[in-house]
Amino acid sequence: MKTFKRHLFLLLFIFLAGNALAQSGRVILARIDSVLNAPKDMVATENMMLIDKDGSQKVRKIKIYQKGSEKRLVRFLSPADVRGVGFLRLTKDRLYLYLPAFRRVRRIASSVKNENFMGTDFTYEDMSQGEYGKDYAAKSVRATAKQYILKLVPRPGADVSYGKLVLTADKSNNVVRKVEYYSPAGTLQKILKIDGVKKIDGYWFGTRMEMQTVKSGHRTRLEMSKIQFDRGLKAGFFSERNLKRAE
Amino acid sequence: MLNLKRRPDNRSIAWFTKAIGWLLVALVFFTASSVSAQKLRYSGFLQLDKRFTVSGDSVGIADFYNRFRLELAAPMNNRLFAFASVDFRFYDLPRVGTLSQLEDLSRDYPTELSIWEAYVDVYGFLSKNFDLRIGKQRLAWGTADKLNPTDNLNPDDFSDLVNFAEKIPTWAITGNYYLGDFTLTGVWLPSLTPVLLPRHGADLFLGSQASEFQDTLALPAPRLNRSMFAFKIGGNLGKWDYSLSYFNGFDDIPILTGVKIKSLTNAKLYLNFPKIQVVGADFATELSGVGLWGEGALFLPKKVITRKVMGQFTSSSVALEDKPYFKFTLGGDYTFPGGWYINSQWMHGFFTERGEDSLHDYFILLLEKQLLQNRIKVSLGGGLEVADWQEAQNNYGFGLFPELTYQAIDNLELSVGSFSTGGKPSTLFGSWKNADQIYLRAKISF
Repeated sequence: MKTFKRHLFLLLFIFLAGNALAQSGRVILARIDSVLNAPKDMVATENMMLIDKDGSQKVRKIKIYQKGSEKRLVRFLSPADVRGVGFLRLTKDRLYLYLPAFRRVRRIASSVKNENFMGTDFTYEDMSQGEYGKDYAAKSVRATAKQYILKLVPRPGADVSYGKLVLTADKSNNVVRKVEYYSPAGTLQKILKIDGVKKIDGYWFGTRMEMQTVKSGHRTRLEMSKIQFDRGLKAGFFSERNLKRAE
Repeated sequence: MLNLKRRPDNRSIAWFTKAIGWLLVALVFFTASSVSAQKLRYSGFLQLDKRFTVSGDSVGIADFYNRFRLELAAPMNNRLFAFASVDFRFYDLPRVGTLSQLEDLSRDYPTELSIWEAYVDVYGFLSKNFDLRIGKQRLAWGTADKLNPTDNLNPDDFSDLVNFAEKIPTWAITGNYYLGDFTLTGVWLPSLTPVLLPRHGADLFLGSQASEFQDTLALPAPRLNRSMFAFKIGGNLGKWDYSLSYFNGFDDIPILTGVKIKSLTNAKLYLNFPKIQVVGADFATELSGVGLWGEGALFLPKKVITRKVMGQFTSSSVALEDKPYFKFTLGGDYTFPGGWYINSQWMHGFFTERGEDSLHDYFILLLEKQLLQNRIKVSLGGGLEVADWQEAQNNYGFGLFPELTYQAIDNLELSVGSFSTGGKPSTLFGSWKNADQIYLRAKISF
């Protein structure tokens, strides 16, 4: 009887613990998303370093405008051969590219989402990832002394190209510090590391990122500067009118 | 040889336009001096081009232009922006026939200089939703990929056969009013800017007889009632972007209006630019990741008669009926997970084709792949033309346009490619079969 009670207690514990873990995974992911999307809008300048396996580097400078998790406008400031190129994301399937050489805005199909954005290690999908909980569910959660480690799997019907994400976030402020991107077959494809975490205008934010493509060894390092939050960008700002407008 | 001669009054307007252009460039450079050096931006590119023509067993080197573009952007404040660019083209094959020409560097190596763009933007003019652009500008209308039947405000730039879908900026005043998802555009163009044809290659676009005779070309008279205007309303409904447009002006490609034959070796052609109205519509959307677009233009021409005078005999024929004709382009694109990009378009009616019975069908396919972290781009283009579906076996043309681009170093782009066409003489691609070329191009941006 004593053994039976012990087993029953253990089963109950496992069930409750599993449920609690799933729940806590959901809660942690919601907290991570809420920190990620806490600012109403953001304007920043990014220095992008494209680093080859042999160490050779290319530098890109972009200006980024963002509102909520959906609307984003990116404009290239340098080098000269891409200066003025603009990218506008209104929704997942309304993407536009402005090519100053032709003075033309072209709509781009969302099938481009798996492609690298302007030679970086970030795909269009990575650039558009604003809210993890929308597309992914927390399957499991582990914790170390200072960090949570969540295994995220795509929600049924989610239009994503990764099979799994392993996301690491700080316990103290719920800021994402590392993401491992796995293919649907389970191969590790890319690793994103986030550093330089600061509190800016009351929001926790990682100002340095590095995305590495595992197979090629190519890396893209991002350093953000002139970060401004809650500037009151209106939804109408994210338009062709502004995409074409020179800085 | 087709000679773009202007009537005296047209010469004065051309001079006036040129003078205004240089004044505007000077204005931009002058006002730029009042903009802080940090904001002022110089940019441009140097493009060096070598063309090899293939004819039988021999390979010739074509007399093709190189290009130096200097741009100056001056953001004055958040309401005012000025921009000017100068296009300098230079040839590197000497063109001399006499000893005295050896004394002249400019004759040895001809050059061409033009103001490419020169405009001033006023954002929020009179209303916060209204933007104004005044000056020489590019007005890119339509949603198709380069093959745009509704893009009629700027003249065609056929100077490079390889890039036959290019356009030249032209003088205009453009107003854009933004209201939510809607944009209302109004454009006024004071005069017509004619097409730019390839050097020694007018025949490629105007027909095989164009360059065999002397000619006189008449531009529309420079009067207010002969100026051109256009309107467009654009918006989006859900996933669909659309626009409706109207253009009232002149075709930038001349048409034959008279032939005066004095003898078998002495004939003169008279050409002018037909008046047209174009009602256009376009859309762009995507379905399951496939980008889709369509663009149609209903051309409403005025009747053009060609009069032929041979001694005392005169006759006339209709060069262009006053019957509407419809040009369109339908297309789509998709990027496969492996990175291959496919772009396919069906164009009914090339830029130079006029009249319902003259419109050919063109099917253009483009495959592209970026390799080695975008260092190399492989592009395979191909086209099929059908001039008459009833007798397609005798009325087809084809083209192949492969290109390899190396862009491993920032601001440097090296390209090698070829442009080759063939087919029956009744087709455009067939008529270009002797213009096959291989090109090497280096473009340095700064």
